[in-house]
Amino acid sequence: MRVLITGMGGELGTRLANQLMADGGQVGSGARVEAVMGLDVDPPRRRHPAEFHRVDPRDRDRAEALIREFEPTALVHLGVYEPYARSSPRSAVERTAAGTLTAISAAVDAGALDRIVVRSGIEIYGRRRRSPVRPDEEVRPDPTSPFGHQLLHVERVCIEGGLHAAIPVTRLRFAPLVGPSFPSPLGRYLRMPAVPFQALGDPPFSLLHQDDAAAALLAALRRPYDGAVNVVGSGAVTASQAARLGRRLPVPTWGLGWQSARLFSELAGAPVPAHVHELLTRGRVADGSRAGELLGVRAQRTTPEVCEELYAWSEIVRIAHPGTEGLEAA
Amino acid sequence: MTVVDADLAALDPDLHCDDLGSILSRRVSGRFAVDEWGLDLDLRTAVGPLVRARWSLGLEGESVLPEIGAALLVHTRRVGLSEPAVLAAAVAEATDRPLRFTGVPASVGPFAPLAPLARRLGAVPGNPADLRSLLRAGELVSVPLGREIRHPFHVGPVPVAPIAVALDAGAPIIPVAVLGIEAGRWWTVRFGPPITTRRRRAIGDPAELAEATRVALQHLVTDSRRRPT
Repeated sequence: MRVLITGMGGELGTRLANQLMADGGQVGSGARVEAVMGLDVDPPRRRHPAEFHRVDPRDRDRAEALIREFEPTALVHLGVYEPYARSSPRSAVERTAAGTLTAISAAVDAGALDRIVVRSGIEIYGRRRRSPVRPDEEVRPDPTSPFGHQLLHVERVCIEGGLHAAIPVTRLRFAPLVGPSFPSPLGRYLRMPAVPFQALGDPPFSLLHQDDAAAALLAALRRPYDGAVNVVGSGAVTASQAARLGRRLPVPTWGLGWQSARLFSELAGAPVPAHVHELLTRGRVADGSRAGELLGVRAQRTTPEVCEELYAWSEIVRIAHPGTEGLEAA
Repeated sequence: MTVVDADLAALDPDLHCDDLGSILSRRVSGRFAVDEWGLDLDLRTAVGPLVRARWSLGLEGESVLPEIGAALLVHTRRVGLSEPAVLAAAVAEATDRPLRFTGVPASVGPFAPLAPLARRLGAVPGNPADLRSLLRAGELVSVPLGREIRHPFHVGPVPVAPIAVALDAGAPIIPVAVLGIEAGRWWTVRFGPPITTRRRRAIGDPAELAEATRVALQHLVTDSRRRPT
């Protein structure tokens, strides 16, 4: 198996590359990973044994040439940029749209592709007034935020590519991913010293740990499934509950107060994109019970556990170099 | 002395502390449980004494309620304000399980401020997708019939959509007559024999099953009229 990972510079991509290359590249059922190639605009977040090319997804010619030369048999498309995670909203949209079109068309044209796994999100279901609270995969996507529309576009392009090549396309709809080392606008917001929450309602939302997301990606590569799968940590938390778990100050907010709250958050370095504002005011959960049946994996961490881990920073260990003991005192 | 692992203790309802001090401590630390539909178990426990003070319940046939697994409870209603709370209290008394009652106040309109509180106490939207998800998760879900203010002993048509969802999920349907006067204290909740759906899944007709449920409910209501409650 020759695996192409787009968006490999992110936490998930680097983690997946390491897992694929571990154990001599065995991915189960006799399949073996021959090579892994990663593309991204950002460099990988930690050491990895894969071939990596730093390419802006908008540089179509270079990306296409690299993909055609690599001739992937499996494409893991993680080049879905969340606004304010690693990119501004505008460049997130441009990079996602251009990167998706390039990756799918070039990988399909290379002629060896036999499966596509794409990272999507439960933001795709939207939160209209009468839409289901806990949608399952049978519910028609009806996004109500720019990031939701971005995900819908990605899924549609991947489905078209899959139809063209007659191969399965596994669309993994992840709950919001947060973690101490995971760049995410929701994670930054919840880690602020004071956390505004919806005073009337404080709706629940579900989260997913990056390890569970990586396990789902690996499982989808091993067992190709043509369709959508929700991958969600069980249980839920509310914003005020998360703030209390992290010993932050929950600040009740409503109506026009959200404008001030969003401005304050932006000034504090945690801008709130539309889909995160929607999560805070209308909630975001999904039925992830079919992941076990379809992929053979279940999220190991519950949403409250993911939330607690968000606040658990690793202790900084200061290493004293020989001969520098006296410098600090001086 | 028995030493119980903290994680294991959290799973054991008998070791779960529901005294006021424990509840307040959980509120402050954030370690209380709110589920995906918004049900807050501590809040449900806290309002229990208020519910018992407001309504006095008489239960009949409550042994049909499953201790585990999903079921769809189709119940009668007269005005419809007290019935969800009365039925939830009856289910809690019989099984200590939370009831998910459909018919959340709309998030717009005069009852909008009540919607978040109702959700915290177990109210859920009644759309088929959420019903399907609830039954798949093994929950007890109630669906009310139309209001019968003038003719309380007449049972109207049973909605077919929730019955179709229960049929698809293989969840039993339990007819329930909730009888009482809106402003009154004494209420009787009569549970009828469950209508099984598992065997009917292949050939079942939801409309036929809805009519069977209506007939069962009419029997329950008519029977209660003949006997003093």
